[in-house]
Amino acid sequence: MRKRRLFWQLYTSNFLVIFLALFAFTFLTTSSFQSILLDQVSNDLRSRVELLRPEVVRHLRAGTYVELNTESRRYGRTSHTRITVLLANGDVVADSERDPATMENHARRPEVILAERGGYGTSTRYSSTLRRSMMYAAVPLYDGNTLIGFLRTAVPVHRVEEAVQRLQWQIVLGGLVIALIAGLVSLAISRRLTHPIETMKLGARRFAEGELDFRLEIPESEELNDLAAVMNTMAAQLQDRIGTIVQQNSEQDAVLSSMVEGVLAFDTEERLININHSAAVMLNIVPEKALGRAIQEIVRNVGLQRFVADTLSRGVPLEEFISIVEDNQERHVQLHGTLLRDHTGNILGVLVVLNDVTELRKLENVRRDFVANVSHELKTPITSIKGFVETLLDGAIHDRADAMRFLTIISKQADRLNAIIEDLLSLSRIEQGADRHEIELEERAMAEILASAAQTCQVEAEAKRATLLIDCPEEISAVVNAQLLEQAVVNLINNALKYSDEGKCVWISAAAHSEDEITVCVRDEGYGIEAEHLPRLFERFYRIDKARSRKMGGTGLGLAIVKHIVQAHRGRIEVKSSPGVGSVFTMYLPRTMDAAGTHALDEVAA
Amino acid sequence: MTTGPARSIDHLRRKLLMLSALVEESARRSVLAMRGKDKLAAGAVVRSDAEIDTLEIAIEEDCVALLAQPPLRLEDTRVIVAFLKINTDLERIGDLAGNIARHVEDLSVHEQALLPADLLRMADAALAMLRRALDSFVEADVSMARAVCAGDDEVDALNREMYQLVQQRIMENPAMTGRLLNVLGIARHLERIADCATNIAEVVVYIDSGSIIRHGRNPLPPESAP
Repeated sequence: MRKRRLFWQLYTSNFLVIFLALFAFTFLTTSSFQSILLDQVSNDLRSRVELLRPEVVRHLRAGTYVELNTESRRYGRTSHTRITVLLANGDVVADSERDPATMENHARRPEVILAERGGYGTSTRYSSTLRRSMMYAAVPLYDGNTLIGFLRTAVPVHRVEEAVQRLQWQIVLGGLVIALIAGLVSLAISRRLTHPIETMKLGARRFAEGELDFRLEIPESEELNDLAAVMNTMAAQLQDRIGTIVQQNSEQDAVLSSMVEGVLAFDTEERLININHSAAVMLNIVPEKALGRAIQEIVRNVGLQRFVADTLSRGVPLEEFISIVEDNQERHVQLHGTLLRDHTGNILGVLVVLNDVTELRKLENVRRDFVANVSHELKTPITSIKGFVETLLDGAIHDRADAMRFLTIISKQADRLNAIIEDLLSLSRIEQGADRHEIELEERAMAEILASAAQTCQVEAEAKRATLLIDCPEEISAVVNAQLLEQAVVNLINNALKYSDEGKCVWISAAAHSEDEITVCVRDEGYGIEAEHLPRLFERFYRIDKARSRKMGGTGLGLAIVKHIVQAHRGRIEVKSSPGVGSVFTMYLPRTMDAAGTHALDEVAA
Repeated sequence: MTTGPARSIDHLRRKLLMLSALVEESARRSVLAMRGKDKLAAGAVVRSDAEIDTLEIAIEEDCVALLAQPPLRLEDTRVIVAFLKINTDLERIGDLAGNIARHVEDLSVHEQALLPADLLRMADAALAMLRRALDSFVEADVSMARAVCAGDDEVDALNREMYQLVQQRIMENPAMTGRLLNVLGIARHLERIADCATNIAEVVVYIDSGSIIRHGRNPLPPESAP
């Protein structure tokens, strides 16, 4: 249906009512006006007929038609009335306007017929003789009881018609004026009605556009007033609710985004509906681009794709491990999936929580490897000892030279076992001590410790014709456990000597690194270490070249011990190396107890 | 959603994306196994090929079934044909990843052996091309697809350098021939993965514009490359 403006609705109905009233009024007024006027004319005619009747009867009785005609003309002229006299058969014998001889028989004229029947007849019609609308009145004329003729008088009635027409015109003119006024009034009313409605429409549109702090003006009329008030209240309530929802949303967002676990939500078509920061980082997703898209498009990981499909189709909470293969590493992620339902229990989709367990796995692996490695490292010398002991028991003991050689080997392998166990024990002592804060630290000059360490290694150095060079200013000092730090430096020097050719130098130095830290450095001119080994260098039993290391009597624990000693001092250790040039091991140690404390905090934060 | 025969092009597309995820993971795992000379990881890659083949066959059957359903609009037909091509290239990449993994199994005996830096660079470049080709398919990004096609030359050049390097090392040290041939094999398969990625990128351009760029842009068609 086409919408019409309120103005036209008002105007047409107003106009129609006015028009109908006017029409009825015109009709009634003019018709009664006309009949009053015609009555008057008719009465007038009748009185004239009655006045003339005796004279005409006299002439007819006498048969003096010519005089009658002359009389008629005279009377007719003086009274502005047409007078006609007929014989009983209808022949005209006198007429005030025309020659009676030329006139037709008038017996069938309506007024004559009426007069013959009832003694008086009137008729209004167009006279063909005079070419105008006339009212006729006729009476029968009697001589005693004999009908001898008719007397008819007539006056023109065009004046009446003219008067009626004039009246009609005036009314129509008045009607037009009233229609115009009705239009103006309708316009004014519709303006008054629609203006506040228009304002409210604009206001409602602003509400719809989210401008909820806008308030409508209160219009004058009561109904619209109520409507505006209701709309304003509605806007206020909406604003309140939206505010609450926004706040809840931002709280939830804050909770979600601060979670370490990744959170993903998909709808039943497996399209992404929510993702938190952790999940975006874990899966390398740009949330803005990914929302609303299918999982297959945004995550190229079949494990996760299948997990989401499984959770959706099976409808029970699921748990699974998947791996994400990145360029340089593989990450292990634990998945928990549950269905999302709305308050009526309809399934909305699926929620997946991702937990990165790569580091946990790594720790597990380190522990598993450690047990395997320890067993292996202990087994090697024991196998050897057992073998030689059995050989001795089998008779080799009787050959003194062989027996001596075997026993020497057994002794050496026992030393090796001892060394491994010593190292393991000191590792665990350092670890436990560090855990329980039992390692005593005191401020000591570095020069003294470095000299003592170099002294310890002097024998090995001379065996390789190597030179140990110490560079340490007297004032350099730090809060250390002298015994442990010396052991660390000794381990580093021993390594440097082991993996260098004969006749090279080893530099042992200490320097101030910053206000809080000093560095202790051991540099060699040895074989160097390939870059790919560096990250694992400090792991227990990690060996670059297993055969060579054992031959040189290493336990595989030296650098692990160094790392733990440094950690017990709340310091850190770095290594730089290039194959064929040499290696530099640098320990960063805190100068004071306070510095140690802050440094530890840094480490936690990192 | 992704199980059962594809009922629509969107469904088919999702299955194809699933295959692409499988294949990319397989390729990445093979390179990761190569870096770590990890025999176990390499074995897993070799075994995963069966799953890729099964999915490839299912997708091909789906494509044929969808093509047999008139009335198809011209664009739909083009998309399905393009899916068929990508499907084939993905399956081939899966095979190549398996081949790399087999070479890694051989290499893993020489635990201390160092891989040439160029080989690692090649692996990174090939994987990056594969990732970008698949990204351009997901995003229907034609300019990214064209960039992938342009990047193929770099991998080709690295492959040629690798060939010369291996030749030279074998002459210097004939005892290492076996090991070096494995390195060369890996390089060749990486180069072919890059070729397949280029093919996929070309199909992405084809889906968008309907124009076939593969023989115009590449002086050597991918199949006849060394």
